[in-house]
Amino acid sequence: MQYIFFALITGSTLALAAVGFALVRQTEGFLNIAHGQFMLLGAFVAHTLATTYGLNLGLAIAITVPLIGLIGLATAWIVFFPLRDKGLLAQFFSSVGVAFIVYGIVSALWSGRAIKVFPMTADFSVAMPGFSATAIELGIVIGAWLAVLSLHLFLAHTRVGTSIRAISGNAELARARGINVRLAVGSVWFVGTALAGLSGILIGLIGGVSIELGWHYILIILAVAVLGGLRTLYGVLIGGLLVGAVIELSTLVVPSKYGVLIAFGLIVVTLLLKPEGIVSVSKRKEASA
Amino acid sequence: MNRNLKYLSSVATALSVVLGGANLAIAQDTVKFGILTGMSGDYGPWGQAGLAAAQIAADEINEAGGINGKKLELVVADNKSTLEGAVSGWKRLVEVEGVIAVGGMESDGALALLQESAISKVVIMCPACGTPKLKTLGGDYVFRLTGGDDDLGVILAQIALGNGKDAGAITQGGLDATESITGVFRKSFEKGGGQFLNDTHVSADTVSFRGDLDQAVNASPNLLVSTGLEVGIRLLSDYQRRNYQGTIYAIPEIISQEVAELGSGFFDGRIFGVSPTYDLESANYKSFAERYSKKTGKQPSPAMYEPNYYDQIILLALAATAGDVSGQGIRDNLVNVSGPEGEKVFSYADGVRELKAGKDIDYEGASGPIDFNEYGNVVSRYSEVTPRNGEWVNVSSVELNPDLR
Repeated sequence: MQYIFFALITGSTLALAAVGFALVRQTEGFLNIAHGQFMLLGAFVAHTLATTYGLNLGLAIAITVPLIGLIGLATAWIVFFPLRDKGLLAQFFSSVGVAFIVYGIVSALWSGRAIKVFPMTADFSVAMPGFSATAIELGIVIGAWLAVLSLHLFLAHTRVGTSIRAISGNAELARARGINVRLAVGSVWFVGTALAGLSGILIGLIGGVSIELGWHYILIILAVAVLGGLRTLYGVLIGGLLVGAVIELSTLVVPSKYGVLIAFGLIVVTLLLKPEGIVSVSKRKEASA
Repeated sequence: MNRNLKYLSSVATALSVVLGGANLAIAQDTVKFGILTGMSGDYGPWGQAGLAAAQIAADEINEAGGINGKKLELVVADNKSTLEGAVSGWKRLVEVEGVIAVGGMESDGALALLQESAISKVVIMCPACGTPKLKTLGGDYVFRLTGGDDDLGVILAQIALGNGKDAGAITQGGLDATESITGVFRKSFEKGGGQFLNDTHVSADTVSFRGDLDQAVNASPNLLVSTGLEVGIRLLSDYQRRNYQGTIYAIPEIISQEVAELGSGFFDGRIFGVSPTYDLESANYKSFAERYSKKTGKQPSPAMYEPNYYDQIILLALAATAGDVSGQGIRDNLVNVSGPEGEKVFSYADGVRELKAGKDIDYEGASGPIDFNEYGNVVSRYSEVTPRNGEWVNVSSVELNPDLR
């Protein structure tokens, strides 16, 4: 029971991180390697607001998440939009460049200490024989899934969300139907990087904020997205939970350092059996979305 | 064509003479010591505090006229607390910058460059290297200003035995410092009648330590945390958040300001570590502490080894003054200027004066007496420390129990 809860914590943060990544991938078509560094930036900004400026943690998160979204949108505007005509490979490698730039800026601004920890005290917990959950752990799980639910409602029930789904299925067709592609793609970048910032904060809340956080997570996020199926956000959520479960539950059998190894092994096996990922969407259905 | 070649050759020769002369001039005016340490990464807090201390020493040396009239320059390289960084930093300092000694090194880097230091005749000075391997491998071109982790492991086991009869460990794998200290702790703890119940190995790139920590605490909530700083902070954050009740024994890599501030008092009197202790009343320590405080706005911390970082530079400079201003000259005189025979001196200026008068000297630094044995090791005095109100404070000084070795 305890380890299932640990798996839920890890899986929830991974799912949240990967869903923002997959959203950009679905709409823009390339793998945005800078996503991990936006997680890092979010975690450091929120930490600074909560510690140096003494802001309430909730307020710090409320300021940071849209701020990271705006930075992501500005980055897309400056770097990725002008490169559209150059092809996906150019955008992909540019995202690697952006990742190094963001990493460099964060290193320069927040250098010095090895790791930053959010100021929190264990003032509430749920405990029963063989199981315990602290307030912050419950908050992280609930917060992550509330964000996912909000994303679902945004995509399913708003005009912009419908536009996003339409252009991720077929951008040309969407444009022909008069959909405002610029607004939809801009929204994707804003929401995708805002989710990166939020996931970075949630990871920082339980594990501290290390300068290597972005590099550390981007491969796992990529794996989660591929496992879940890059064409569907719901598959990515399931992929996040599965990888989280494998990482945490494997410590019952082998040392934790092999957890990621086992997770990647499982991904390789899954993709050999089902190359489109665990949740696939048919092209026809995708186009009609 | 031939004329062109001759012309180019003449220009090249003239340039090499001019530039070579310029380099020689720089070389004649300056003596370079390298500081190769972790300014970022796990050892960042120690590296930054240590660099400030080393610069105080360099300023003192230059104010006293430099080394045989030459200005001392510290050339700093950040090894990012990694072995790869130590090796690449060494190449830059030794092959490009031409330093004759390198201070600030950590265990893994010192071990990796042990042979290289002898080949290139560049002295390595470790202010805080704990690895037991240097107990017998040092002494040629590698010297350290602290006792080994084997002593620290024994003392940590002593403290743990005083608190209870069961303990376990969480060890970061792949690091010489962490694995060796856990081995010593386990052996000494069992020798003293304790039950060592579990050793969980973790890796720095693990996504979550929750499962590891839960297993370790279930075996025994009293844990030796033998990891680098970053992993240690992540583990201790989990320990606090899950409100585990036990006692933590921390290796020196964990005894940092970040950990002292962690948990808003949760760890006060719950984490114990061992750090070198200094004679806080000695004139030399007081003088250093005053200058350190003036430079950084902070007092030296019991666990940051700043006096060692200061003393390493003074010692290197005294050794260079006593003989040739070269790596070999320093190596040949390092033991002499610090050994127990000779006139006791407490500053660089005093040491130079006595050396010029033809006397042997015994430098006694801010860290206390420094007497290298044949393997380049010194005997340190230790004290037990614990966090209190965001600072590490001394609990008591600890005498090592040789029966637990």
